Amino acid sequence: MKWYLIIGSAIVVIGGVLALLFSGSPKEDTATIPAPGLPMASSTTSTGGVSGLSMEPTVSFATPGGAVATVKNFIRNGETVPDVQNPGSYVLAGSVGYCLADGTCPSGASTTDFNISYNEQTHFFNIVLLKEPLGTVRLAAEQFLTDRLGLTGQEACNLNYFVGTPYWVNEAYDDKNLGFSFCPGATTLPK
Amino acid sequence: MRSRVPLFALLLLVGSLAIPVVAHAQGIPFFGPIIPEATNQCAAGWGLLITVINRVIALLITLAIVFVAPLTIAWAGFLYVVNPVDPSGIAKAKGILTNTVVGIVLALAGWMIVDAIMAVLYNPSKPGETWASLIGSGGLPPCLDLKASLNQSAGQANILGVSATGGKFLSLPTNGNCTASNLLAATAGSAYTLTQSQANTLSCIAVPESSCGNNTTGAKQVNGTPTSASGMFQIVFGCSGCNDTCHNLNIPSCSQAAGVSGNLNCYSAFKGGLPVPGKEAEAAACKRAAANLNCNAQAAACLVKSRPNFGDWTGDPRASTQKNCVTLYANK
Repeated sequence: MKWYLIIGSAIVVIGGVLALLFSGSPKEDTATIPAPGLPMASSTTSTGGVSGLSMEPTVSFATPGGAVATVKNFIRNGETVPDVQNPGSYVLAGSVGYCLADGTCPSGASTTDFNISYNEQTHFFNIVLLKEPLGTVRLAAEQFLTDRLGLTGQEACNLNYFVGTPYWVNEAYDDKNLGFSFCPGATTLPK
Repeated sequence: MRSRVPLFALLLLVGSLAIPVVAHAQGIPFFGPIIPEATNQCAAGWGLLITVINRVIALLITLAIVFVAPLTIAWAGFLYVVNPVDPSGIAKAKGILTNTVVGIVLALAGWMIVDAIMAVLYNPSKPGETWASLIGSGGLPPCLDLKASLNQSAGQANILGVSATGGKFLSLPTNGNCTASNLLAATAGSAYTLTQSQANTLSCIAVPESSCGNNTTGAKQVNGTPTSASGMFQIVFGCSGCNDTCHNLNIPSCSQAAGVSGNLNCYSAFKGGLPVPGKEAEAAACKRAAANLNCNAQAAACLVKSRPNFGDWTGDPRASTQKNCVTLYANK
């Protein structure tokens, strides 16, 4: 074997290894890094509750990593509805699960595949997958949430969230936070 | 012979570029954890064993590529540089370089081939999937069946008519609406206060019941028929044996949440999982109340007070996780 062939192959392999290391999805240990990719608010922005009642185009809230996330105003977007039975909670997608005394039945974005709610006290997003196939429904829920918040997938990983499914949808996956599919440690779901 | 060199070089180039991409799809590079966190509290079954073997192999290949190969290639380069005229030194460098390249290609190619074959053997209906991705969803349970231990430790006679399969053990939710502290707060000052262990158990149960959601509805029975189950603890209305204070939501906080005076009497407002014709307003009031965290938690606490074995959430044959919650937290 010619020497230039060996060196060329070595360069190609090293290139492949470098591409392997730097072109993929984020590693699991990035979950512990405090919100590295989230859009950061200025230091003067309040980090308290979301100012959802304002008509500001963006809202800010604290993430579990301690950073401040600034996202599109998903509360006052003409789609999200307040969960009047649980003050401070909002439903972004799906039904609130009840009808009001006046006969109206509030609902966030129309879907029966998943339900997404938000608690402004804890800045917590609860995503409930209500139909099979779970993998496909989770993708749709992720797409919905990242679109409404104006976040990339990696930024969404830093949110305070839970993705789950009840036992009556799929008892094999009813016991944990399934995670966003693009986040480290997410559960692989059937599509 | 000389004319084949460019062809061989091209094949090597394409192969070297393609293998890492394929390997990446199978979880390489992989830096752990070797034991999946979700299963670190259960007795390992075949699914977990295979998963661990896969992870060990992925870790070894990762270490070889990331740490060993660069060092040997660098060493070979060093030998080239310091032996410009020494044929034995150059030959040694060539040998090291050749072995390194061939080793990496063989390791990755070997893993790729094994993974492809195992994927086909494991689930022939999914030819596009990799073995590593199929293990978690192909039905091999990671944990051993704990039916016997569940029956013993639930503090009751053997649970009949249910299958305690799955072997899943939950960590208590630390955020969201269904944390134990939230449930304690939601029931504090009511007639249905919870102990810490009861709150822990209910917190655990809320995960499979509703994914901790206040607004979760749409449950179906095993045979596919709809139920009236509502809210975090999926309180049902109008079912056989449900004409009691708890299921009726005849609880002050529930009436308050629904905006009505007096008892809600939800049992009479539902039949077969649907509102009774002519009682739509009463049924809507019940659903409204059940969506309220305080009402739902107090109704759940009411049920626990009536049946301390949490039997209201463990009777369904699909409720293996709920039974595990009882096993883990009810008597602690």
